[in-house]
Amino acid sequence: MPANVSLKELIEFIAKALVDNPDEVDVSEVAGEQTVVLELRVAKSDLGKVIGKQGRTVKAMRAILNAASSKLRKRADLEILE
Amino acid sequence: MPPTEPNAPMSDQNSRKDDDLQQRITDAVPVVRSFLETVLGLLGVEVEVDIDVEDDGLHCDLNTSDEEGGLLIGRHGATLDALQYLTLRVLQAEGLGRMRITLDVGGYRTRRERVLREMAENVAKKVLDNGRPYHFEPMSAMERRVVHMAMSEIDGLRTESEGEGRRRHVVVFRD
Repeated sequence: MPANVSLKELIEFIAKALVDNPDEVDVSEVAGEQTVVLELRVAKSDLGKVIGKQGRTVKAMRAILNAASSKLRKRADLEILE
Repeated sequence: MPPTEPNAPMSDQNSRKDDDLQQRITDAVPVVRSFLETVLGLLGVEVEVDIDVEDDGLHCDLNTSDEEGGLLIGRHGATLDALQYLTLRVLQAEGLGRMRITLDVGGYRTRRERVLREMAENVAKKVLDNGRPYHFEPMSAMERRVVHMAMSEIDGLRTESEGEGRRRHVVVFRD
């Protein structure tokens, strides 16, 4: 499997493309034994932009993350921290 | 605006709106290309993005190997739908507003649409025959739209969507 798939960079890039304050986007990767948790922080005013109506945007980001992590044969989850 | 020509301002307004949409669609091409190429690159997928400009938006074909194509489509098209939705959101974030964005991989959408239409025809026969409402499997908004459209061409039936979130599905009733 290609080692060049970076879940952190992937989420960071997508989040930055969605928000008004890309400088305030921060993603940290918390590695567990089988699951990687990506913690996404954005400016307070951008929370709606990454969550979306009825959580559609964060769901879509999770779907992309699933595709990426299946390539790495890992499980990954995305959490938005306030 | 002279009030003596009630139609003129209206059509002016419409054509301005259309011009604006065409301009926005044109402006969206490089944004969409760069977003998709970067995301797919970060996914480690080698892909060629073909973008067609249409009247109401953009159609993007993601050309890749079959194996990678399967990954991009995902279960019941979940990955493709997600990527399509995010592309739409990115355009809004860029101030390019609303337009139609469709993503396809190796003709998946077209094939799926044909399958859905065939399913709709079979279900229509059944419901017209026995009069019992038929509940489809849950589907995305795009797929439900295909089913609603296919059913609307058949007399004596009506459709509704029921359920929330990922349970939302089309129900067919005999009138």
